[in-house]
Amino acid sequence: MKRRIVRFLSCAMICVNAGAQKIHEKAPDFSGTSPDGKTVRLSEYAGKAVLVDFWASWCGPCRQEMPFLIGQYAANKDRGFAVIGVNVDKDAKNLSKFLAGLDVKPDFPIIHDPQSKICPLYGLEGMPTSVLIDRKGIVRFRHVGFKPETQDVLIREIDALIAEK
Amino acid sequence: MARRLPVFLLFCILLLSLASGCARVQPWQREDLSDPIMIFDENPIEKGIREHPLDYREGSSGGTGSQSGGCGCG
Repeated sequence: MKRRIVRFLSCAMICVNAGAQKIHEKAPDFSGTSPDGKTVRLSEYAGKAVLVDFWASWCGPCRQEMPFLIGQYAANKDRGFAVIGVNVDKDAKNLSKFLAGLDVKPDFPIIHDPQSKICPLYGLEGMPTSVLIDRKGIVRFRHVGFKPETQDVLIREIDALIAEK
Repeated sequence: MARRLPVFLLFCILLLSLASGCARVQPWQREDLSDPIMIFDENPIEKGIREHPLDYREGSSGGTGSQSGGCGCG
């Protein structure tokens, strides 16, 4: 009887945690459309270190993070590094308005995902979430939220993934 | 019957937990919650004016989150 209860509870716990995507696992492939109509697919960036950033214009830390991402992409794009932004604003106007207000515009692809179909694949726990994927397509690091001190950690991790061949 | 009672109780507890009205709002669904209209005290000056007499009349200084001993001398 006890064994049956333990088995049942174990199954229940596994089911509860099934949504959270873990590190050292293959990054789920996804595709989406950018505001200018281009299709962006993660698998097209195979062989590169990729930072997938889930963000929204209504999220304060996401807004703070954007200039950092733009800077990192500009500094490392020729070294085999890519950034894909996944924006979950319901209204594309809010996304466009936020991007228009930036001094330096992001030149990495941004997917507009108003129905948030991509987020559940990565089991997000907060916004923004930065997922770092290595050249082999394995999720290596993930960060929830963005604080100034997160920048140094992210820079170190990006450099480490770029250095891997 | 006595052997089945723990299973029945466990089943009832699980059923009750599933039947609750709470739902987890996912991080990407918080757009409406982050709207400025959801802030209770958007204007800190107005909040101070409203709460100051209330605090001392009711002796509830600190009861709404500010740090004070509640003695009315702060």
